[in-house]
Amino acid sequence: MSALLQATEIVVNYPLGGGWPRRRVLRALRGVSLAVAKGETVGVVGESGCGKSSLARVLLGLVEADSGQVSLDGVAIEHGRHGSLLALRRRVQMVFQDPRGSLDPRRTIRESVAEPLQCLRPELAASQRQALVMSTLDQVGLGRELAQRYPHELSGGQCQRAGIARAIVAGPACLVCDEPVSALDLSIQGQIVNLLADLRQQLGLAVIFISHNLAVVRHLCDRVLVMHLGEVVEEGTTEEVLTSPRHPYTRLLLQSELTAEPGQPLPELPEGEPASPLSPPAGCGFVERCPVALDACRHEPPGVHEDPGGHLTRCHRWPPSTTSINSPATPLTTAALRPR
Amino acid sequence: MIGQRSLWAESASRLLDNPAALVSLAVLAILVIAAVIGPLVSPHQSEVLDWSMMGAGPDLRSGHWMGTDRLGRDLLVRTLEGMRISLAIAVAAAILSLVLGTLWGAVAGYAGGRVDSLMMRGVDVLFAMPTLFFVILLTTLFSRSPFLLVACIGLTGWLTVARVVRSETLALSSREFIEASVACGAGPAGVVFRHLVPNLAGTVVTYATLLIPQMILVESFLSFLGIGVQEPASSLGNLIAEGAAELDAAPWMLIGPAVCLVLLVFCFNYLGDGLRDALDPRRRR
Amino acid sequence: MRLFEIRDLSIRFSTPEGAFDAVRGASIALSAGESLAIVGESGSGKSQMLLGALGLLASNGRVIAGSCIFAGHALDTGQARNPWLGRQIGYIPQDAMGCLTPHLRIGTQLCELLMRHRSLEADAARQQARELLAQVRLPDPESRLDLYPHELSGGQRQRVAIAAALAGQPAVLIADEPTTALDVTVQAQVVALLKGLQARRDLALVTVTHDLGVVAALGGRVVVMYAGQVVEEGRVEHVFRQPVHPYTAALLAARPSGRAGVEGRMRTIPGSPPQPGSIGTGCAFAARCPAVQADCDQPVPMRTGAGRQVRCHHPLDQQASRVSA
Repeated sequence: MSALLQATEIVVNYPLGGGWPRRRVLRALRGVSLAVAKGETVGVVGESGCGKSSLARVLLGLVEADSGQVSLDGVAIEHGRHGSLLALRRRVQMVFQDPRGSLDPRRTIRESVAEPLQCLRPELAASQRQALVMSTLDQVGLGRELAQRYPHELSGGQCQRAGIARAIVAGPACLVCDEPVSALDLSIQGQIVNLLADLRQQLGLAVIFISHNLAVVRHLCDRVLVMHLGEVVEEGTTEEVLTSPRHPYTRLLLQSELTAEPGQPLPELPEGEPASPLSPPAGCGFVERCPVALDACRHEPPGVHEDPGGHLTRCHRWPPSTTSINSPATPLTTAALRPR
Repeated sequence: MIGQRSLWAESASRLLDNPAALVSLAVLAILVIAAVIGPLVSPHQSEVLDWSMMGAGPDLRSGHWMGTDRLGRDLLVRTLEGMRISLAIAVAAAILSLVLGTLWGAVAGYAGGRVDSLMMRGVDVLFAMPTLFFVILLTTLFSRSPFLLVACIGLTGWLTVARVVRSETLALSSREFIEASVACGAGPAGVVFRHLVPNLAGTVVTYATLLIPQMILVESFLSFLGIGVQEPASSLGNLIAEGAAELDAAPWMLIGPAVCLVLLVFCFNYLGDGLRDALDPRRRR
Repeated sequence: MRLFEIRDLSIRFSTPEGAFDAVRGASIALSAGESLAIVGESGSGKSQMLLGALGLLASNGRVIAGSCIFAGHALDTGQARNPWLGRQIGYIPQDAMGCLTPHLRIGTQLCELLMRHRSLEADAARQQARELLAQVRLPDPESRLDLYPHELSGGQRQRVAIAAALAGQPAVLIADEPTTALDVTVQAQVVALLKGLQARRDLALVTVTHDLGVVAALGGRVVVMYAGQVVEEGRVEHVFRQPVHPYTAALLAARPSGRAGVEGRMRTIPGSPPQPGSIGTGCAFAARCPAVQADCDQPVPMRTGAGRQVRCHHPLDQQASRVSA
């Protein structure tokens, strides 16, 4: 299975103002790799500040990685060259989190949706462009009568449909969706998720779906990456990761999910907050909240363990055989988890 | 059902709902029309001396509605012409400030980083120079002409515009639709002209209406001091200066031009306030 | 005897585009020690109802009908600052950062509240402030008192906001979207905290949220709002297991779950909520309702029975609810 879009060992640091003479940096991504094959849907989950939005921006070339590279069909993207970036954006497009904020308030929906065509496919005549915009609006279920409207005249769901239309109008092969439904009402979320699923099937799109909503990810994705503090801590098929999680952080995420089942007791969660990306700890980033932390977790960054099925885990506790001797009281097995 | 309305159309209708702005707009229109065509249709001319009526008070029968000055020149015509010159200089200086300031600010804001700091430090240095000193220096170096005055006033006004536009550009640059446009493949020029400039236009238009009265005041101030518009041409500033000198004997010489100045400044400010409210996206819902 | 009650509240907003009614005759009531969740989508009027009842309405809003009653006293509604707020009625605003002054230390702000509402001396106030932070389970409360709001994380700020609302020893605690801005892992902690406080202090707790998971976790009673009206009310377990209003049923069915599988589609509610101002006299949900009938354009009365209320001409019976949910 060859990768359509691949990111290898991406590191992104954002310099922060002040702090002279010691420059403070926010370590957004600390060596993240991700690959998506044609037609595949990969979910990226994690809390805010884990770097998942930065990852999306690196994949689109909106943010330049400090190290590591992004390659499309095996060809590395050169950030300095406009042509290379255009080639990337012809094949990879993005759906943004804020449906209304991602559309220019002074341009009509038609103008916004036509923009990628003007930039990426300048060879098209105006009439062809117009026809393509209109058929794309049909495709995302946005009435043609809305084409001349402005974003503030549309509902959030309609704006997000327009955002999706803009992303697919130039015929990309891969869609990066950054929290595309989290700003929408529950009754609208399902409509957008279904639309993305339909388009994926019709257009054979690869999708990178970034979300903190595990239920939607479970519904939509083939594979899942769990990110924590700028690192991928677990990666595998949706089935495996979300039903038999190996990393304690993945378990925490799953436990924290409040299901709409009344009468269930509230999950017993460790108190504490995510570590700051301004000063990530020397060892494992999750050590402060980890219920099964070892001494080694404080000092040594854990290595990645990959099993033959491609399930990646970045934890000192995995595979369990090597550590079970140290603390038999808390074996990290999947049996202890609630079936979901 | 809401019809298709651009933000401009909505803003315009909101502006027309604002009584203060509407009245200001009407008064300004009347003043501007009077200043432009008044001197042309008046039976009097500003430089003709009426030897029979020197320093006469306002009188409808004599035809000098606002009286005459010490030399017997019709004050109404002189005030209208003065207003025309004041307005012309202020508008020209405001346009100069806006063009220079908008370009400077937008480039600095969008480029960011070192370019930004370099450009804005330049603005800071110029800000530190006292305006009056600057103008006196220039007027003594070069011959006094309205163009020099426009240049002097404009060159001091653009600094604030540059700062305002830069901060607005910075705020816009972090908005998601700018990022979306880059993701769509737009280059820097496309982003600036397709998205930044149209979204800056509201701020710039508002600022322009607030800048013009400022410019009128600066021009009047310079003319009052005698380093602005020179006799025999009139501007509101030197008319007021003349009037102030004759305050005891001929108060109408001060009152006419002063009322015009106050009206102009007031109306522009009210219009600017109205525009700011009408264009403010926070008021949109 | 009801402790806190909002009766038939209607709120009208006037905007340059015209006037619209954000809340249209909504009522809630709760007793001491009871938890009530108000759930609805954005624009359903759930927050505005509380703001109006507490006298915190924006300047272009007006209470055109209805009243708010606390322990037998009618409160001034609309923009009137009511004297109970901050004392017997604790309010946690939606924006936890916004309710803390950025340039004052947490301790200073809490002490000020305590000295004002409980007439404590400075020393006692500081003691109490530390106590409050411990109650909201902020680790190391003594040193947190000397921090500024921006030095705390989102979850910690939310805890401080809750502590501030508790400063006046309220009998009623009103939380507006307390978990919306928080990460999933912190959401559950805050819900647990609210629930614990409610039980320990015998508080009447009103929580406004759009998150069905939060409602289920809180328990107690739930009020479902749609287009400015209460459409269904009852105990959480009853409403969630057996919704009788088609909107509630559709909302519950629309929550994403893994059960549908990768190939399946998520259930949705077609269309979008009505624009405020374009709501007729009939049922506001009729346009999106799967069970709409001819008489749904007639005004809908509230039907009451067996601890539940529903505003629907054709409430789902037991069988129908199983089909649609």
